[in-house]
Amino acid sequence: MGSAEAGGIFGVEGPRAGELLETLDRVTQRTRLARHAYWFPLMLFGAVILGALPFYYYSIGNYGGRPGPISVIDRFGFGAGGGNHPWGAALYWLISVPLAYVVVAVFYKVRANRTGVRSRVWPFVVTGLVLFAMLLATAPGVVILFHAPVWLVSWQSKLGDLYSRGLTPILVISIALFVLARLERSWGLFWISVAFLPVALLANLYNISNAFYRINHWIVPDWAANIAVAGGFLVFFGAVSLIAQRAWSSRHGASS
Amino acid sequence: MAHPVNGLDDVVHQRARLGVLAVLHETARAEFGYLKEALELTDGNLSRHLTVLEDAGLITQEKGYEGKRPRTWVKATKAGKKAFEAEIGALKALVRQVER
Repeated sequence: MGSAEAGGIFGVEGPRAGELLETLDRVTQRTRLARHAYWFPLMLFGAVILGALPFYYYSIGNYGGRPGPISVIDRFGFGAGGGNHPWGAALYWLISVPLAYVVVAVFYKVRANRTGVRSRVWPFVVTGLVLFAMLLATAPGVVILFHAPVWLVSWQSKLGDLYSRGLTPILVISIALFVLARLERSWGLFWISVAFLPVALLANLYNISNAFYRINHWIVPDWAANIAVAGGFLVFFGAVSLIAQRAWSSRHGASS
Repeated sequence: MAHPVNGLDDVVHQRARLGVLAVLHETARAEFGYLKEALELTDGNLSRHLTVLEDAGLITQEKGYEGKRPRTWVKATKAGKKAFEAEIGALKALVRQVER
C-alpha cells in the first residue's frame, strides 16, 4: 500500500494532533483562497459606476444641469441630480445594477464548475437586489407618482444632501459588499468594504472636485469627480485582488 | 475529568475524513475532483471515505453531469459541520493536554 493510498497528505505513520491541526489549517486556507473570486464583483460594479459618467455630465454643482425630474422616467431618479440626463441616469441604474448582480451570480456558478469549489453567493445577490428595490421604492419621485403617504419619505428630509446628487445606488453597492466579505470569509474584502463605505458616502454628500481644485483643478472635471473616484476605487482594488489571486494560483497550481 | 482523547469521534477522526470535512467546512460544496487533488487521495480511497461519511449522515453527494462529464458535488450536512467543529475542539484540547 503506497503512501497516497494510506493517508494522502496526512502521511503514512499518522501525525500527532498538533501536526494534524496544522495540516487541516493548510487545507482550509487553500480551499478558502481557491474559492475567493471577489475581484470580479469589485471590478464589475466599479465599471457599472464608471458607466454612469455620461449621464452626469455637468450635474455636480448643477453647472448647467436641469433641476428636478421632468418626465415619468425622471421620477425614478435616485435623487434630484442626474445632470443633463436625469431620465437616462435613472434608466441606467435601473438596468445596470440588477443586471450586474445577475452577472455576478452566473460568474460564481461558472467558476465553481471550473475550480471544483462553490461559494455561497446568493445572499449577496439577494441583499443587493432587496436594498436596490428599497431604494427604488423610496425614491422621491416614485412615492409622489403613486400618491404614497408623505410619512413614507418624511425621513428623507433628515438626510440632508444624500439624495441631491442622484448617486445613492453607489451606497447600496457598498453596503452589499459587506455581505460578500462575510460569505467569502475574506478580511481583504472586508477592509476594502470598510474603506469604500466613506468613499460612497462622500460621493453622495460632497463635491469631490472641490478637493481636487485645491490640488489641480483640471485633473478631474467637476462633473466626473464623484463617479470617477467611487468607480475607480472599486476597479483598482478589484485589479489588485485579481493579481493577488493569480499570484496565489500560480504558486499552488490551482485555477483562478 | 474526562481525557480529551475520549472526545474524538471514530467516524470523523480518520485523517482523510477529517480533511474532507475541513474542505466542506470552508465551502458550500466541493467537487470530487477537487477533494481528490487537495487531499492527494486516489479515487477508490476517497470514495470509501465519502461513503462512510454519507452513511453517518455527515455529508450528502449529488451526482450529475456537466455536458457528458460526470460530476459529483459533496456538501456537509449540519451534523457534519457540528461533528467537524467538535472534533477540532477535541484535538485542540488534546494538544493543550500534551503541552502541559
